[in-house]
Amino acid sequence: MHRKKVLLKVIILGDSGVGKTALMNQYVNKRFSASYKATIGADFLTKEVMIDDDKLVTLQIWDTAGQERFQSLGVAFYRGADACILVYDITQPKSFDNLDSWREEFLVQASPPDIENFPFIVLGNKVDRENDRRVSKAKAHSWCKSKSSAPLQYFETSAKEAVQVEAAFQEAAQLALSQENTEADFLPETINLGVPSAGGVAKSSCC
Amino acid sequence: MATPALENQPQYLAEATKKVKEQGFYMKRAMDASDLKGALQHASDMLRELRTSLLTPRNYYELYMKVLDELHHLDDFFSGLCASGTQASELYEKAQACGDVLPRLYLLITVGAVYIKSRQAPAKDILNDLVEMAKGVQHPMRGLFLRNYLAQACKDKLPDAGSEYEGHGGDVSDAVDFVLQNFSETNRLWVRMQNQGAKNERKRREKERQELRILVGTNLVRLSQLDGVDVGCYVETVLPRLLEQVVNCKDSIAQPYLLDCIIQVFPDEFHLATLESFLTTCTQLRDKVNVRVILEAMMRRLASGARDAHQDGGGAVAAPVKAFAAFNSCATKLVEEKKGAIELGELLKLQGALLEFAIECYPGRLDYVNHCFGTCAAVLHASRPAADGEAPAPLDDGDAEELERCLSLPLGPAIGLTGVLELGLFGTLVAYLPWKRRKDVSLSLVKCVLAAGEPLDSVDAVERLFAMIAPLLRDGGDAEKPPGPDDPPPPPAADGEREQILVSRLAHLMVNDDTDATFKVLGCARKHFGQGGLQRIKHTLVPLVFRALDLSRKIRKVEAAGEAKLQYSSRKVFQFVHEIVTAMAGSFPALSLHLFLQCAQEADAAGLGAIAYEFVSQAFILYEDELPDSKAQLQALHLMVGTLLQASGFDAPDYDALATKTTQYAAKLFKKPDQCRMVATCSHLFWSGPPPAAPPKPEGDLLDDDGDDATAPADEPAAAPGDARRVLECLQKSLKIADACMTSSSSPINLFVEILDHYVAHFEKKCPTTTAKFITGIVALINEHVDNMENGRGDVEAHYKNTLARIKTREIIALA
Ligand SMILES: Nc1nc2c(ncn2[C@@H]2O[C@H](COP(=O)(O)OP(=O)(O)OP(=O)(O)O)[C@@H](O)[C@H]2O)c(=O)[nH]1
Ligand SMILES: [Mg+2]
Repeated sequence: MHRKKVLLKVIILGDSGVGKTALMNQYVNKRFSASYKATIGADFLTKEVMIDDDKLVTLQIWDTAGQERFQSLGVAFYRGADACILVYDITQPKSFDNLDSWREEFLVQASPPDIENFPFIVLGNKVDRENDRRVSKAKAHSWCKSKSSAPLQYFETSAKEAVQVEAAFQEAAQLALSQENTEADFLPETINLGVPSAGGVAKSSCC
Repeated sequence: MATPALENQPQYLAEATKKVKEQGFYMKRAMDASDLKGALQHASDMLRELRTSLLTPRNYYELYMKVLDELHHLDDFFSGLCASGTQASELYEKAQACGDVLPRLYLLITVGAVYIKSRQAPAKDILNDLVEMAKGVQHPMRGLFLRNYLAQACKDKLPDAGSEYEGHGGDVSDAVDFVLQNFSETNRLWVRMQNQGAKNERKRREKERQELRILVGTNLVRLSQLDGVDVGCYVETVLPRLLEQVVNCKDSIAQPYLLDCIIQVFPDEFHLATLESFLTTCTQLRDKVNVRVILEAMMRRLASGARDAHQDGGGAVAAPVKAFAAFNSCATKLVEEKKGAIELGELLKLQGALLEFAIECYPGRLDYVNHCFGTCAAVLHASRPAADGEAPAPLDDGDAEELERCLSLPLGPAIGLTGVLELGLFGTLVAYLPWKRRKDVSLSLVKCVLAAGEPLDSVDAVERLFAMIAPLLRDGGDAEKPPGPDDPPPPPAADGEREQILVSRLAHLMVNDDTDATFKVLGCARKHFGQGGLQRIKHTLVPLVFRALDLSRKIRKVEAAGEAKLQYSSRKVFQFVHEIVTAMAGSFPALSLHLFLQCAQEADAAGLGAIAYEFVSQAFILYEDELPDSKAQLQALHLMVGTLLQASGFDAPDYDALATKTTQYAAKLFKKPDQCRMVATCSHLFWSGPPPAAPPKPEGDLLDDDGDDATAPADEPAAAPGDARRVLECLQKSLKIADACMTSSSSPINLFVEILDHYVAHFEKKCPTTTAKFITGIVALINEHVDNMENGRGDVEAHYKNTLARIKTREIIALA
């Protein structure tokens, strides 16, 4: 009866205000709100996605706080990620400059098995504000090229007007599936349930 | 609360993680075998790991995340069971049977979520049950995480407006109640941590609390995510209950954090609707709380919202109309109520934030700016009372920096001169700054006025502006306060120079269609600049002279039209500049000489020959008495010749006297080549074309002969008119000097060629004394030298060839 579903974990990172929450809401709920509500800590939404017309997977999309003071417990939720979406705001060069440190921090904390080929996707968000653009496409492309042997996938999105949002997450899901990060599942050495555990954890009898 | 041992953390975490995985594995195996009992058994064994007291918050969080991954499978499993007919209530009961509190509650929450989803009971009842039962865990850290799990597992199962659970499951108020209650309990646990454990562990406990705080804040995020929480609900229910918690918890860590979260997670329109009550709360916090930081965060948020709305062309939020008054009265209250408890620097920072907010949200509202300045002045006055006429005690550097920032904030591109002049307290506040900062801030003000380019067109405006920038106009030791030990030594000259050049550019703004008014403005500026000392007037007075000369031209036009009756004539203006330049002459002779000559040209053009003569005479006096070196002399002579050549209004005897003098100076230059060239140049002073029936000139030697061998041709024309004779005298003299420059190793052939040019020029202007014979004579002379000239004088040869070619093509004379 317990059917093992494919669950893919995708993390969205980027500076505060770039539109991480807005992108996730647009993708999952098809909604956009103009007013800013900060994210505290991290939170996920799930969505079922069809890949290659035949594979149904569950995407667990983690939206994170861009403001450091709202991430005071650390980033334990990076662990086990299958893909990472890096977002910046095309009207804020600083948010683009910070992509490097978001990416590095992710690799250090998540320590995925294959750092070289871990799937990142880069989103330049808020293209509906083209007139205020301060980071050129070319600059973004060259950054994407510089990060690995195969250039990182780059999308120019608008959470506000639902531009390329679907495509970006679909691509993330696809890449995540191809890389599914199977964190070493527990394999019993011997079936030996009766052994009391070491360490100081108080144990008492259960149900 | 026992203290986790830091050095063993990795080991503790690894062991606990291993057990979680182990039990998770067996749990899933049981699920695969559809063994509910076994699954629950292993799940609770797994969950028991969360009872540890050995881990730090961050490591506990990591373990918790691992557990959550496993619980996700359990949730799937329960959902599957329900879908295939198992009653959710039955599962709920089974979970209840788990003996340990913490595992039981995790299991109940997991089942509870499935229960709500199954719709076999109203959401609100189950939520209520869960949030109540969670009280069973009173250990702060375990409780905080448990409640985090509760909020997370139920986030999409609340009877929120528009949700599938609304109606039978309850309504928005149930959803709000649930989240608020979970929040209150979370906050209570978090605050209670402060009072647990040993006294000497306070630092560490506070650090742990700071780490755990996001578990409290996420509840507020949940609230802000509820669709049913609209402005009305926020005003009526949500915010009042949150603020009540904030005030009543009386915890100086929780208060600022919760307010920060409220500011960040709720949208602008909510804040604008509740600003007053929010700000009232801000005045009811523990003394240790830095209220300024909270107000600043709120102001920043609202200001950036106003900016975005502006960019998007009228987005959601209107300009916060009454917000300034609200923030201001809150700030005032703080000052009054916490007199003495808040440091001066904080008060100034608060005013800085208020200023920033006002400038961003209400451009052009200088009354707001002035209001903040008024508060700053009051605060400063209270903090360092000074008797009349006495200087207040100096600020420490941090405070001074804040004050300087306050003063600079309004000096943006938009304010302009008119705006700047409205900042009545600017000068008062500047006086609190140390000298260097006074200058810096005055300089920002000058730049801002220059950038705006508004005319500085009345005496009143000049007086007020100059009072504001006094630190740039006078030395550090102002009347009341000699430079103290705190005042740094005068800045390096280059700095001061750049500064004064900027100040001097203010003169360009002193324009007014009314010439009388302009004159008064210039007079006023002169009065102030004049007190600046030598290093300043060198820069500041010069543009004033030029502005005055411009003015004289304008007045002349009016005078010529003869309509308006002017208070100040152009003659008056020349007196004015005469006086300015005379004042500078002693210290800056070369510069003043230049200025006198400029004035002379202008006066001459105005038809005021006598005045022009006076200016030139002054220049000559400077030349004789003051010029420092031969280089300055040479430059001055060029200017003098230029001035005389241009002048048209001198009386003949005056002109003659000046031209003669100039030529005599030329002959006395220090270097022979300079003498030679300058004397030749002076020849033009005596001939500008065929004579307009000039009166006969007084006879007499123009140039003292210095006794060198005469090389002049013998056949000087006898009956040349006076001027023409002098032309020849000059040219002959310069030839003689050139000849004297000859040494065994080099010949001054370039000089000869230049003199030839002068001869040709005069010949072309039909000067009777410069005959063809002279020209052929010099050509012959040069040819002779060219023949034995060493190589490498190509430039001279080229020059010479050009001259010859010109003589030929213009058919000036026939050369052999
Ligand atoms: N014009 C425009 N605005 C957007 C877009 N995406 C997001 N925004 C706005 O940008 C602001 C910030 O968006 P969020 O999604 O809350 O930003 P975030 O990255 O989640 O920020 P943190 O939670 O603080 O890390 C909000 O006011 C959004 O309405 C977009 O594509 N276009
Ligand atoms: Mg967010």
